[in-house]
Amino acid sequence: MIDEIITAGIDIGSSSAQAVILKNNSILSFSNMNVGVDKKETAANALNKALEKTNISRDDIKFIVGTGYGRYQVSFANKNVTEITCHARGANYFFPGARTVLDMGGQDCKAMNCDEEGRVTAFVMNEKCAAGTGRSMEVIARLFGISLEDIGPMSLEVQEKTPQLGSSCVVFAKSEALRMIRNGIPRNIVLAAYCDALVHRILQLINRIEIKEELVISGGIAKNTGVVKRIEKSLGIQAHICFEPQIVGALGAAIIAKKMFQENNEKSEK
Amino acid sequence: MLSAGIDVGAETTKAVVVDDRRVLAFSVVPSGWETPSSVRTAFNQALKEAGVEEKSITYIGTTGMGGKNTGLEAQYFTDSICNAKGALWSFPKARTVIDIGAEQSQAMTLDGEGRIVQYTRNDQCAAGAGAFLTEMASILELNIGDISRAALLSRNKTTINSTCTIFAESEVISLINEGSDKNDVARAVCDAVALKAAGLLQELKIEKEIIFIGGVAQNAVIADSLKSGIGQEIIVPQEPRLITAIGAARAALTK
Repeated sequence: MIDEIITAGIDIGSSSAQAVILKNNSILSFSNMNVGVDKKETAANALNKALEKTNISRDDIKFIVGTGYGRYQVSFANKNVTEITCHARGANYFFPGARTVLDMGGQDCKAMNCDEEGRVTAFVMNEKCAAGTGRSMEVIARLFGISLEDIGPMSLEVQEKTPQLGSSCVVFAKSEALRMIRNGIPRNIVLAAYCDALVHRILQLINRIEIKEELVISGGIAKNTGVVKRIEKSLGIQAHICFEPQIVGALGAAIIAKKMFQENNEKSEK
Repeated sequence: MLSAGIDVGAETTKAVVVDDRRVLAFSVVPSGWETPSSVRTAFNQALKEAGVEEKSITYIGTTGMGGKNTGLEAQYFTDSICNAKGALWSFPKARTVIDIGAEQSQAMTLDGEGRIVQYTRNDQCAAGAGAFLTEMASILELNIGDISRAALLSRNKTTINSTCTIFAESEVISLINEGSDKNDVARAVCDAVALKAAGLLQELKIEKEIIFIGGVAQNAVIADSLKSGIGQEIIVPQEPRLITAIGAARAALTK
C-alpha cells in the first residue's frame, strides 16, 4: 500500500516552462521560468527548481508526465500527454465546475470544453496567428517601453469609447498604434484600442465552441486584467483564474501522472 | 482628353496622368500621415512631368485606403474596380489579376468586358503582403528592394514554416543565429510570399492572361516563384505599382 504518492508534471511551452510537484492531492511546490535554447535542459531545470523548494528528492517522485509544445524534450518523463488534456484536468482541480477553459500561452491560444472529471469534450486552437497570444502583448510592451504587467491596468484607465483598430493582425495593429501615438493620442487609449483588437481575435476562437459556465482562464495572459475584463464583458460571464494561471498545464500533468501510477500499480498487483 | 488617377495606398500614394491611349506621367510618394498633403505632392509631380496644368485634367479618379480623403474634386472607385480597369487597359487579354500591396492582397477573374467575375481578398493578415517583406528586410538588414537580388544568390533551399509574420520573424532570427546564409533566407522569404499569393489564386478558377500587380510584383523572384507555384505564365507590367491608379483614371473617364 502506498500512503503518499508524489508525482510531477512538466509543461514545456514555446515561451515558458513550468513544473508542479504534487503530493497526493496537494501542490507541494512549483516553478515557472523562460524556455531556454535547450528544451531538455529547461525541463530538468524546471523540475530541479521545484524540488529545491521542498525537502524531498528526485527519487521520491513516483511518476512524471511531460506536456506542452516541447513535451518530447522532457526526456526523463515516464509519459507524455497532450497539453489540451492536461489543461482541462488542471482547470478542473482548481474549479471543479469548470466547463470551458481558455488558455492563452506565449505563442498559442486554446479553448476547450470539459466535463465534471476534467475530460476534454471539444477544443479549438490557434497556433498560426500571433494575435491573442502572449507574443502580441510583448510586441506592444516593447513598442511602448512598458512591462507586460502595465498593459492591463493602463488599458483599463480608459472609460470612454476608444477608436477601433482596423485589424487584429499584430503587424497592422502595431503600425496603427504607432500612427495613433504620433497623432498625439494618449498611450492608455492606444493600449485600450490594441487590447480590444486582440480580444476580438480571442473571442473569434472561443466562439467556435459552446461557452458553458464556469469559464476558467489560464496561461500567462490570464494575468492581463485588460484582456480578462474585456473577455468577461463581451461574454457576459465572470472568469475564474487560479492563483498562478501559468501552472495549470503542469498541474494537470502531475494529476494525470498520479492516475497513471495508480493504474500501473493496480495492474502489477493482479 | 486627360484624366488622372490617384491611388492612396497604405505605404505609397501613386498619381498618374493618362490620355486616351497611354500614361503621360506618374509619381509615387510615401503616403505619410497626412493624406491630402501627400496626394497634392504626388499629383503636382505627375502634372509637372506631364507638362500640363491641373485645369487641363477633365476627370480625376481616386482609390485606395485613403482614396476618400484626398481633398481633390474627384470620384472615388474601389480598388478592385480600378485593378480590373487598369489591367485590362494595359493588357486587353487580361482575365486574371493578382494585386499584392503593402497591407492587402486580392485576386480576381474578369470577363472579356472587364467585369469582375470572381474575387477574393486578404487584408486581415500581414503575411503574404508587402508588410511581411518590410519586416523581414529589417531583420536581414537589407533594403526591401535588395531582397530579390539577395534571393537570386541563394544556393541552399530554406523554408520558413510560420505563416504568421510575427512568428516568422523569430524563425528568421533563429535561422540567422544558427548560421543560415542571408541569401537563402531572403529566398525563403520570397517563397513564403509567393506561396500565399498562390493560395489566393487557388481560391479562384483562374484563366490566362494572368497579370501580377502592386508593389510586391516588383520583386522578380516572387513573380518567378509564383509562376512555378501555379504552373502558369504570369505577366508583370513594367510599373506594376501604377495599374490601380491607371484604373482609377480610366474609371473616372469612362463613367
